[in-house]
Amino acid sequence: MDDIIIQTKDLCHLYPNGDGELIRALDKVSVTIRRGEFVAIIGTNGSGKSTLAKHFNALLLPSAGQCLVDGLPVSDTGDMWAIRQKVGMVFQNPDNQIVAAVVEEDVAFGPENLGVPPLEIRRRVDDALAAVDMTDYRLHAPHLLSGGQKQRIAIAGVLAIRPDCLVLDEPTAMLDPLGREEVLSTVSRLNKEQGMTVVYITHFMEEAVFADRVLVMDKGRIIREGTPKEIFSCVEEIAALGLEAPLAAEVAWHLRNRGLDLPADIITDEELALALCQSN
Amino acid sequence: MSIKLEAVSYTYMPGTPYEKRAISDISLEIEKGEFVAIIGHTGSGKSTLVQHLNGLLHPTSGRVLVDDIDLAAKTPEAKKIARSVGMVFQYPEHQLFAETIYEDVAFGPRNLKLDEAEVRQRVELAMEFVGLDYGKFAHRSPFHLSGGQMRRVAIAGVIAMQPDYLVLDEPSAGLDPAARNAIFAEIVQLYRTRGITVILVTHNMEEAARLADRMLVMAKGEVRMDGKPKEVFRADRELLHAAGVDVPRMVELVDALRLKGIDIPEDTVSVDSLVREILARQRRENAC
Ligand SMILES: Nc1ncnc2c1ncn2[C@@H]1O[C@H](COP(=O)(O)OP(=O)(O)OP(=O)(O)O)[C@@H](O)[C@H]1O
Ligand SMILES: Nc1ncnc2c1ncn2[C@@H]1O[C@H](COP(=O)(O)OP(=O)(O)O)[C@@H](O)[C@H]1O
Ligand SMILES: [Mg+2]
Ligand SMILES: [Mg+2]
Repeated sequence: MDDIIIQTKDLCHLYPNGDGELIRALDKVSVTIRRGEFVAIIGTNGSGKSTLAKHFNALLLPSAGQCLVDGLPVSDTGDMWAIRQKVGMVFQNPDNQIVAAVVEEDVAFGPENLGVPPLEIRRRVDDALAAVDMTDYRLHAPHLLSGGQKQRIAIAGVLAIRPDCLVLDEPTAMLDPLGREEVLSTVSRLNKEQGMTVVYITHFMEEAVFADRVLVMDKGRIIREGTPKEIFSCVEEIAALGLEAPLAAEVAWHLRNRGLDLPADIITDEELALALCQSN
Repeated sequence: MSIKLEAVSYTYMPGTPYEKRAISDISLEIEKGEFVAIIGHTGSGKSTLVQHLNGLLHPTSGRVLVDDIDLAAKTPEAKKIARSVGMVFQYPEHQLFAETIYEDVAFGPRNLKLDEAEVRQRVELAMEFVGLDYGKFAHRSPFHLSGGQMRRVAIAGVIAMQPDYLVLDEPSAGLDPAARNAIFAEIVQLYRTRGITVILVTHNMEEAARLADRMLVMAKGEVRMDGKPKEVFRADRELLHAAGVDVPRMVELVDALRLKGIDIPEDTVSVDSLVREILARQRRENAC
């Protein structure tokens, strides 16, 4: 039981849409996130990914069903602040997440708000900046950094709260390829080396390949879950859902259809190259 | 008929400690009917450059001419011509403002003094263009939407203006793969049938390589390369890398295969042709 960090049971969320009607954004979602896991969430626009993620740190409350964070229920009577200390969020737009004029002040903002003593703040800020490899920039002005660097500062700001779990909602959507690479490798390293639990929402399927497990959402439900290989080797099904398999998986799928004898679970360029070398 | 930049430079907050020269001495001409992609690092000046194309920013020095009219002239002609340039901003949620999605998308066409029947028709078409169901979404608030849905509303608002020049600043950020493909297919369709000019700022190299017939690579406020996508991507990798430009996924895959000795032509660009090449090679190998 202890290795579960987040668990939802029949979680529903209804939004009022302004003209008296309700929009069912989550429809009985039951999902379990274990400590140390790297879980990617994919799905079309409006499928409910952000709505689900916002329950994980009590930015939204369940309309029905349950969401437990480290055993604590997300509800209006629950301990919202305890939950927000356990689960930190990073969003899409790097510019909207900057609060201070100097990088290290920005990172210190979270622990300061929690009333952490100054010496401890110093240590946390140093650790957090080191963890995202931005120590050299601690005295820089955040608004002058690149998009990828800004997102790493945002991640550091969350790490300084010492959360158990990092939830990132399309953290690379606004970045150039280099920035995307910086953010993904930072997150991946935090997961591998520090055992940080990661929930990672993305429209870049090639990023989801790095997760341990992929959840596919559609119309407010989780309709598939599995390893990246399990999910992305079903090329047709993924396409039917309005998503896209990684390029190597797509090419391998076409080749298999044309009679080439290739393993069914190819999803990276290297795997495809290797399989083609071996097939003759 | 063209957009012409003459030695355009722009400095943010001149004369303050925050003074920042964002683009320097850019001269170029975009002919009517071109499809131009602009790529480059964050901070290379792409957004600053395109905001000059509809007069949102005026050059600190130099001139921007649209159909030979200087956008900085404070004349009715300059205002009118600026309106022929439709612009989807990088952060489109900032572009939304009305009570309903219908009102938001209708704002532009109404400004063109069209009658309400025509306005409605344009709104319907524009919503279809971005894949938002009219019946389901028209009367919802644009603020109560998912990120990708908001972006679609912002794009629809510009499409409804039926601009001659369409400028899109990273329009696919946050769109799901199906929406991205569908919206780009629609843009290409517009481009082909109505002969509009498209200027697309993108980090998505697939998009740039596949759609554009000309590509500008920006770095440090300057245009460093200007050519056909194929030429640009096969140009000096070092230079591309320094400009923060990734080669398209397809080029990467082809490189990875060639590295393992699977010899397929370096200039294979589509999935279909790659599959054909691999099968042909496999047959050759089996024959000997
Ligand atoms: N503030 C809100 N008020 C009302 N409805 C909302 C609100 N936010 C989202 N919705 C609706 O809830 C559903 C799920 O939205 P959500 O933001 O969770 O989607 P998403 O999967 O994150 O999409 P995207 O990929 O576009 O970010 C959609 O139908 C959306 O229109
Ligand atoms: N509103 C602004 N105020 C001050 N500096 C800005 C502003 N907008 C952009 N800049 C600066 O101008 C340069 C070019 O930015 P931008 O045009 O946004 O590049 P891109 O779109 O290629 O990412 C960057 O150094 C950026 O920090
Ligand atoms: Mg979302
Ligand atoms: Mg920009």
